[in-house]
Formats: sequence, structure tokens, C-alpha cells
Amino acid sequence: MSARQAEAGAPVRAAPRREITPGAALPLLGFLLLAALFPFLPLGSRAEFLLQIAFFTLVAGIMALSWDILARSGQVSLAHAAFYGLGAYGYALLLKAGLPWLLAMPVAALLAGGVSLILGAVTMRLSGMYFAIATLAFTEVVRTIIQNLPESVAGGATGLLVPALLGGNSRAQYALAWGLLAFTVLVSLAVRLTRLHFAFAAIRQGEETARVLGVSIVRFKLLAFFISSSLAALAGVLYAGKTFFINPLETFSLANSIAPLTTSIFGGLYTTLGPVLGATVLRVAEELLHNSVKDGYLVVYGLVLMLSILWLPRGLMGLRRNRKHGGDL
Amino acid sequence: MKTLLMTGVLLALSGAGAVKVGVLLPLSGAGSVSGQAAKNGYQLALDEINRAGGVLGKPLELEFADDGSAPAKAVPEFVKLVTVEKVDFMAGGVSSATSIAVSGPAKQYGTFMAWIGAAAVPVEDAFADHPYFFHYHPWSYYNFEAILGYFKYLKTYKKAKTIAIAYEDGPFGSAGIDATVDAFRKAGFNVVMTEKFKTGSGNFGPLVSKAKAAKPDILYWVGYDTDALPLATEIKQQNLQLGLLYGTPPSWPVGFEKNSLSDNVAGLSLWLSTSPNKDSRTFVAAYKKKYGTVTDEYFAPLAYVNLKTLAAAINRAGTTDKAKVAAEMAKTNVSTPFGQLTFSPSLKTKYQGFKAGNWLHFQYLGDARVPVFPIKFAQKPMVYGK
Amino acid sequence: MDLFVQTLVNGLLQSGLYALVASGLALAVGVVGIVNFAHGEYLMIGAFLAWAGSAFLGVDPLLSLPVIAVAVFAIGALTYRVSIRHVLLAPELNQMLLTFGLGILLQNLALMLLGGNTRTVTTPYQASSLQLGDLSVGGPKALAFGLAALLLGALYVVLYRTTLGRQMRAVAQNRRGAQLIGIDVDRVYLIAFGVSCALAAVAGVLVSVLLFASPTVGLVFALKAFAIIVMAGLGNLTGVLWASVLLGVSEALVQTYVPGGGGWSDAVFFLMIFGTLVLRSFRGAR
Repeated sequence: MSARQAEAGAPVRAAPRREITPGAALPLLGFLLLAALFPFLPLGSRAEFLLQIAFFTLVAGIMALSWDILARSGQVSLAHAAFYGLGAYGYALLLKAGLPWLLAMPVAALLAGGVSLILGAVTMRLSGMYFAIATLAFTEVVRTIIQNLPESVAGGATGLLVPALLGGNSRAQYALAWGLLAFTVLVSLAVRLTRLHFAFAAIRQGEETARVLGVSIVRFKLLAFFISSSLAALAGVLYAGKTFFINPLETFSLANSIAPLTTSIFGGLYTTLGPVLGATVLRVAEELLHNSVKDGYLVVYGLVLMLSILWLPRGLMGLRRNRKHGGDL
Repeated sequence: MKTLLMTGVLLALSGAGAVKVGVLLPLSGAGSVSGQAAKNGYQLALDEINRAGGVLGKPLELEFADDGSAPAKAVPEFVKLVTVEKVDFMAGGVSSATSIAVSGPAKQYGTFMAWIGAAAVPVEDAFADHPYFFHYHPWSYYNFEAILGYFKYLKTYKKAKTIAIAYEDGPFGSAGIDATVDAFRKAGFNVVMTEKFKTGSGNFGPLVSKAKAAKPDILYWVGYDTDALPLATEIKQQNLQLGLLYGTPPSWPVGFEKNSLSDNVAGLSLWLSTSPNKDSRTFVAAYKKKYGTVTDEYFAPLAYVNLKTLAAAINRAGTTDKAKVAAEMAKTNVSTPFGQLTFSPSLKTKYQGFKAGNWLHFQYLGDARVPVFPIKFAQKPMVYGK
Repeated sequence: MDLFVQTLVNGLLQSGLYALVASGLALAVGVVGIVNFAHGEYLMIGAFLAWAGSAFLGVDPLLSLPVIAVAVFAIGALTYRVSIRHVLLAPELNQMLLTFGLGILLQNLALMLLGGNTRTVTTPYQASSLQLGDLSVGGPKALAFGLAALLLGALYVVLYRTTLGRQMRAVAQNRRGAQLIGIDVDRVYLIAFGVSCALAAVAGVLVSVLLFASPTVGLVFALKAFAIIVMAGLGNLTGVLWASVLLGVSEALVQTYVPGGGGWSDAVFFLMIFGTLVLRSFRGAR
């Protein structure tokens, strides 16, 4: 690592350590509560439409937060699309094999988690850009394999039809997505509040240090991979069951790897609220822009991303850090 | 002009209770070329419909929405049109994945859908049990029927015996490729090569080398507009001798006809702006008057026909009642830029519009695309290289 | 045998294009230390400028190439001034988000202004080729290969034989140290980033002649360029050429000799990258 890179990494590391007060959990609880009540808000004729948007926002939130958990252990991955896709495909194929959906969902997640252990073990010694490109290459390889398997196995390049989740009931689907996001939040908090937090942070801040501190790098890195990928797979299941159709080109697209990365940075890295809030704000911003700018709303969207990083280098959570309060969750 | 303006104002004043049609199109993202072309077609049709008195005595209203070529955006937009804008009918639809994704809410709300695109077979499965689904674009197996018909002609009259197939490895190129090969074999062709390529990569060297060793009469490629020039270039450079280079991209590169490499390249289209068909000429003239240019995207006339026939069916039904409009729509029998339009069952859906007979085979001859098959539509004799 | 030699030639020709795109990126990553996700977009700008010159002014793309390179250098320098410069000290992830936003911005700007259509350029030499017996060497691709080798060579000379190059290397190794001995770090970065963008545009001009110009043309090549510079080892310029050749030739071999190989060549490309990185990491090189 060059001196400049070390210097560049400094601001995040130097974040002052504060005691976590119960108050720090309030915004998070508020968010989850609001999300839970969302279907019951008096939104008039827009209720159904907003519920659909909210569903995909929850999926984006799960993706971003699960990516962030992996990033906390210093592994900046571009393989999130792979696990999202593996979850979607695993779920579809398990359903085809006759498993009930309630079983197919966790099994698909665990399968994706299992694959992630292999990837994690192999890329153990890579870091930074090298790690990112290796995980990107992995995603492309997985996509190509699924695409080239005979059509009778996994639908080939054409794709697979997936039965509707919960009979297509949008409220029930939303409730399920909310449940999975709440679960992801719990997992994230568990990582934050246990000794995992210190292990992950130590690894992120330099493996040498971690080794000196006696942290078992291998075990913790793999654990991070497993947790993160299983959760991403659940997001993939939600997507597949909602859109009824998956194909390699869309489910494994690079965009699905990059979105959680940008969302987390935009919201605030290494926090629980940040990625979830980031997903919400970005989706709402996109929707508003879409309606006001119409053509070329993505131009403005790109500009928003650029400006946000210039003015808010710590993401949305950076806004809160300036105020006096306890440590961030 | 003044009277036009007056009627416009009058029509606008009487806007309450007007019939509303929602149009879901990929106005951004991967499918935006087709989506934007369709939007132009819809607006042209809207002008004509309202100038002729509108629908049910009121001006027709269109509500456009952008599906961003992504299922995750298409679903909310579809629901928005149906529940917030409260449209009476839905039109549009280009990509297959987004169309499948909206099949859920479409069934939930029993939405009436007059759908123009989405040719992949899984779409047919997804809408098989939907009672109000009118599909205009031929399903992908109809495209193939048309291609086979043309190749059989080449076999009889030009002694074409061997076919090499190059297809892109995505859903567009790979759909039903095994069935394609089988059908060619059954028709007495020798399929000497079946090779995948990555669209947009421009890497055709190895593929053409392989084809050269296989010595095909016809090279049939299934890819996108981005592949046309690189493939033609490589064929020329490696001096691959072909009877015919035949491709089926959804659209062709802008300005390709002016490039000498495009000479004699043949392809398939539902429609050509040069088509001699009377309705087509009328459409081209009207389009030129409104936009000042001529379009070569067949999604423009397809959208135009789509809205005109829907409006006519509503007017005939005299109500917006879905069942009654569907009954009238099923009786549609009009001449269009693509030929006669009627609805009849396809393999799985009840109301399929255009089928195999509507496809045109053309060749780049001189600086234009010229229809060469079916023979009765041919404007110039085809050029066969062997 | 003929097919085998032709396959090698095909692979070699394709690798020239890869190397050309990768050379500029290598400079941005190596000297400025910026992972520029928008690199492909500068390629796209180059391709469109070449197309516009040819379509509206009738200027051959190869003639307009120097002008385009200078123009895109200016765009790159401007980009550096208004955005990149302000995140140089920020964490790598923030830089990624910035360049990613920049990529979205530029791509959609092109889409808005020009539409999503594919555009092609017509030149008399487009399909020219050198015939050696049964062997055929495509003209423009050979040119791209030559240009890539030339540019990489020139970059090497600049970096190792000129004052500016020494400054660049010094800055790359230790920004603060370089500052202390009186190097205008900001200026060095500006030049390096501008040149990087200009190189992408040069590749874009070639791409417009060989393939097409469209708002998304940069994506395929940028992705592969990333893989190549990482495989070569960050900052290793000669490695870029070798990695490109290795990948280009193995792709061609797979496409020719494996049934349905066109579908697998991407997997092979990325599998080789993956394998190289992993093996190297376990051998302890990094």
C-alpha cells in the first residue's frame, strides 16, 4: 500500500469512538416502524403504486445493507450480483423441484452462502482493487455458466418463469420484504454490537494489526462473506418472486453489484441506518426526478451522485455525525 | 390551422370523462430506440384519432410512462397507470422481461392490454390465461416460420444447401436455437456451423474463420444492430464467400445503407419505410408531415396501428366495458402498413395479431433497403452471391 | 494448420483493441490512483466525435484523431479540475462513487442528445486486409494493434526518460514526498488524467471505425480494460500488452476450437483473470 493510499484511508479510521447510547437506535426504529405502517398510510389513490415502489426500495435496502456488512470486514466486493442471482435461480429451481416456497427461500439463501464461502476462501489474500476485480470476474463466470447450461436445466439465456410470491398479493409481498429487511437490520446490529464489530474493523484497518491482536482473519472474513451473501440471496428471491421472470443478463448484471456499493456510500458506510436510508432517499430522488425532468432524468441522477460525494463525503450519516450524540449504529 | 386550433380547444374543454389509454414504453435504457419510435407512432395516431372526433365523442387521452427497460421499474409504473391515472386501457410494451413482470398486476386488476412488442415465448406463457390480452407483434416462432419460407425458396431456386448459424449468447439470439437447427435440417438443409458470439464485442474474427472452413451457402446471424458492421467487415477481410448474409436484428445501424459493406446484406423486417403498401405510404407521409423525417423503426407504425385499432374497437363497442371492447377488437379486420390485421389464437394466447405472413425480407441494394421476398412484394430481384 | 495460424492472428488483432483501451486506464490508476469507472465514457466521446466528424464534416476519423485526442484531453482536464481533484484524499470508495456518477451522467447525456441508435462510420479502408496466402490480417485492427504498441511504448519512454515522467512516478509513489521536493502535484495529476482520457478517446476513434458508436459502446471495453490492468499488475505498462495478448489469443482459441465457444469465451477471459489474481496472491507476490 502506498503512502498516499494509507493517507487516503485515514479519515474513516480516525472516526472518534463514542459510547453507543440507546438513543442512537431511535432513528433506525423509527424508520422500520414507518416502513411497517406504510401500507396503512392514507395515501389515497396512490397507495398501490407507492407500495410497489416501496417494495423494490426494501429489496434495494437489503442489498445495500448486506453489502455493507461484508465491506465492514474490508472486502469491497463486486460479486453481490452473483449472490443475488444465485438466490433468485436457487429459489426458482428449488420450486421447480417441488419444494414449498417457505423452504425454498432459506435453502436458496444458504446455498448462495455456501458458494460464497468458496469464493471467500479463494480470494482470502486479495485486497483493494485486486479483490474487487476478482469478485467481478467471479460474477461474470457464474453468469456465463448459467447462460450456457442446457435450457432444460436453468432456462439458458432465455431465462426462467418464476411462480408469483404469495399468490401475487402485493401487501403480503411487502410484508415479507419488510420482514426480511428487519431481519437484515437485526443481523447488522448483531454484527455491530458484538465482538464481531471489533474483529471486522480490525481486519479492515489492516490485517497485520488484526493478526497482532489475535483476530482469526480467515474465520471472520468467511463469516462476513457468508452472512452478506445469504442476505443478498434473499433479496434475489424477492425480486424473482415479484417479477416472475429471471434471466442471466439481468439478474447477474454489473448494475446489481454496483447499486449496493453506491447506495451504501451515499447513505453512510459501516452503519446500519446509512445503507437503508440511502436506498430510500435514492429511490425517492429517482422517482421525483423521473416525474419532473422526464427525458434525461438519469443525467441529473448522475450529477446528484457526484455532488453528494463532493459535499457529503461520509454520506447521509455524515449529516448526523456533526451533531452531538452517541456512537453510530 | 385556425379551425384545427378551435376544434382542439373545444375538444380540450370537453375533456371530462374522456377515455384514457396508458402507454408503458422503454423510453430510457436498453430498449429506448424502439420505445421512442413507438411513442412517436402513438402521438401521430392520437392526432389523427382526435382530429376525426376522438373516442366516444370525446378526445382520447394518452398517458405515457417509462419502464426504463427494467422489470423493477415497469411494475410500479404499470400499477401507477392503472390505479393512480385510472386508465381504461393499457397499450405499449416492448421488452419481454418487463412484459412478464407486469403480467402479475395485469391479472390482478384484469387490465385490458393491447400489447405491441414482447415476442419471446415465456411472455406467451405468462399471459396465456389473461382474457383481455391482444398481442400485435408476431411471436418469435412466427419470425422463424417466415425465415424458413425464404430459405426454402433459396434452396429451390438458388441451390442453397448449407447454412451456418451465428447467434448472440443472450436471450434474443439463443431463444429456440435448437428448434431452429432441427427445422433447417428437416427442411433438407445441411447446418454446417452453429456458433455463439457476444453482442457488441465486435470480435468476429474466429467465428468467420470457422465459417470459412465450413463453406456455407447462407450465413444466418441473430444479433443486434451493433454486430452488423463488424461482422460484414470481417467477412470481407477474410474473404468468406457466401450466397447470402442474412440477419434479423430488431433494428439496423443508422447510416449502414451508405456503407459499401452493407451491399447485398439481407434481413427481416415487419415493415420498411419503402414498402409499396398503400397504408404504409399513407403512414410514411403523415409521419413525415408531423416529424419532418422518415423512420425506419417498425415500432412506430406498429404503435400507430395499435392505437388506431384500439380506438376503433372502443368506438364500435360504444362503451369502455372491457368485455364488449374485447369482443369488438376480436372482430378487427383492417388493412395496415403491415398487411391485413385480424386476431386469431396463437399456440397459447387467444388474440394474436400479426403472424408469419407479415414479415418482409429485404436486401441492402444500392443505398437502400429493398424488399426482395415474398416475390409478390419484391421491388428488385435479389442478389445471390453463388 | 491454416485455421490455427488464422486463429492466432485473430486473437492478436483483437488484443490490440484491448491494449489500447487499457493503456489509458493504466495511467489513471497507476499515477493518479483513481479507479475511473467512467473511462469507457471517454472512449464513447471519442467514438462519437469521430462519427460526427465523418458524418457532418466528411473528415476521415484517422485524420481527426489528433484533434479529438486534444479535445478529450481538455474534457478530461476539466473533469479533473471540477471533480476528481476534490476526492484525491478521500477513501477509495468515495472516488469510485464519484466516477460512477460521472459515468451515468456522461452516458445518459449522450443518450439524451443523440438517442440510443447505433451509428457507423464509412471509410474506404474499413474492410482492407493483408492477404498472406490463405491468411488474412484485417487492416484497421492491425493499425489498432500497432497504435497500442506505439502508445504504450511512448508512455514508457515518457515515464522513464523525461522530467514529467519522473515527476509522475514520484507522485505515484509518494504524493507528500513529491510535494516536499517541489513537484507541482496538482499539475502532474491534471496532465496524467487528461492524457488518460485522451488515450481512451483514441481507442474510441478506432472503435468507431472498427465497430460502431453508441452511448453504451464504452462499457464492454472498459470492463475488460479493468481486468487487464489488474492482471498486469497496477502500474505495470509492459504487462498491459502481454496481458492483452494472452487474453485475446486465448479468447480466439476458445472461440475457434470449443463447440459453442463464443458463449464461453467471456468465462475464459474472466476465469484467467480470476485464476491469475488468486494464484499470485497465494504465491505471496501480493
